[in-house]
Amino acid sequence: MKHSTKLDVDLFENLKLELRRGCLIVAVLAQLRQEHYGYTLRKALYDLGLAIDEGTLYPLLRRLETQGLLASEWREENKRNKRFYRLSLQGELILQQLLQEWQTINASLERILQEA
Amino acid sequence: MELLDRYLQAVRFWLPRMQQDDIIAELGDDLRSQIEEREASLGHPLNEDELVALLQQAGHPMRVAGRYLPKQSLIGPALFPLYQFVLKAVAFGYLAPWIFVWGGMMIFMPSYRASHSGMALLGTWANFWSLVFMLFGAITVVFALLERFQARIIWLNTWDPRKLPRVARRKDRVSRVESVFGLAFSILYIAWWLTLPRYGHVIFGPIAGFFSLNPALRAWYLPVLVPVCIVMLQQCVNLVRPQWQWLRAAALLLSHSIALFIFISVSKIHPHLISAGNANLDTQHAQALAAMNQVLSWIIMCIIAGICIGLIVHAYQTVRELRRMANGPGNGAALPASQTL
Repeated sequence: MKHSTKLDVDLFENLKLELRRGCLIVAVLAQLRQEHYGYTLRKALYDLGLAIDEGTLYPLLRRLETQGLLASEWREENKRNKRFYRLSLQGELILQQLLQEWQTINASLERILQEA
Repeated sequence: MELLDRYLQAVRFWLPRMQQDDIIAELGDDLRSQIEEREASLGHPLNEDELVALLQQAGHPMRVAGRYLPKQSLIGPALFPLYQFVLKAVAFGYLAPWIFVWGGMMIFMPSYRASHSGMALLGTWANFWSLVFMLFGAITVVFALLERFQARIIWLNTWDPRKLPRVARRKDRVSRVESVFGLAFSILYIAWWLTLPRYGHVIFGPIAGFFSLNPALRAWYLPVLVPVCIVMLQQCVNLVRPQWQWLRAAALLLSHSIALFIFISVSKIHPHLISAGNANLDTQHAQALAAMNQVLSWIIMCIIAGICIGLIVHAYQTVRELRRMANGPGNGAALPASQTL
């Protein structure tokens, strides 16, 4: 019984991870319509109810930048060098498409859940 | 902050050289910001334990660095099922029979056992494991190469659903036609075997006057029919109870086990052929007799190897049928998708 509970927890964690993965990308892109550096971005997302650890956020930011969706620059703030990120033009276009897709999925899910 | 610097150094070690400075500067800034915020909320500088807790929360340096690396796998999900299938085929089709035959020879052949004890035994197993690693290693390298050049593998991109195998329907009963024909064949075989002593000269032909079977083999003349009788019994029962599929698998397992015992016993009797009436043979006939005995030994060894493979197959089938029976009817039956949806 204990074993199956642990399996259930592991299964839930894996599924939650899969569900969050795509949502995090949309959230990060949306939040970076305003310029942020990593730490303030993380705090802003956390304050809005979406916690994301640094080990997940920074690799994601680098990947999105490599894909041309983000632009970044190093600047000094509070006597420390920080890397500031913002959405690129291409990122804005992709974000619009992703938001449309998300709304479609969300609407479908709501209909499915209402039927059930 | 020495702990933080040590942490960042450890993360740096696992990062790609070109990106080390960039990533470490950004990660370091984030961790320093976290420390400052924690210190502000606590109202005092972090002590060592508090800093350790914060770094532990950030994650092991190798894991943190790993998240910055591109996802890599030696064999990806597209080829992995095929890789697994090939490994299983090699393990069950080659390595398992090897162990089985080796075990049989160690148990039933004292001469082999005597010559393969002590260091020789270690040598045999060393060779076996070398073979295992070589085979699995070679297969892994081939699949890693396939994975690397997967985009160029034409058959993965240009495939035709019409060429896929037809839906396999698992039989839920032993066919009565199969049982009737099997029974008829078994009866014919027993009749042929029992009349063999009377018409044996027909088989041996012109050499019958020179050679005859070793009398010691006569002890096994009737026991040879035991496996056939077991299969006959199964065929009779399956005529009435065709749904007892486990019976066929179990009967074949039993008959193969007995056949293995008989053939191993027969293989120990040397020579298989002797000169007829203990007559003195000339050189030519003596050479022919030796050659025929050698060939017979090889044939018997091949039959033993075949029986061993059959034993593995029937053992697997028996376990599968018993499991299926334990799980209840209908479980595991392959149905077309159109019927399951």
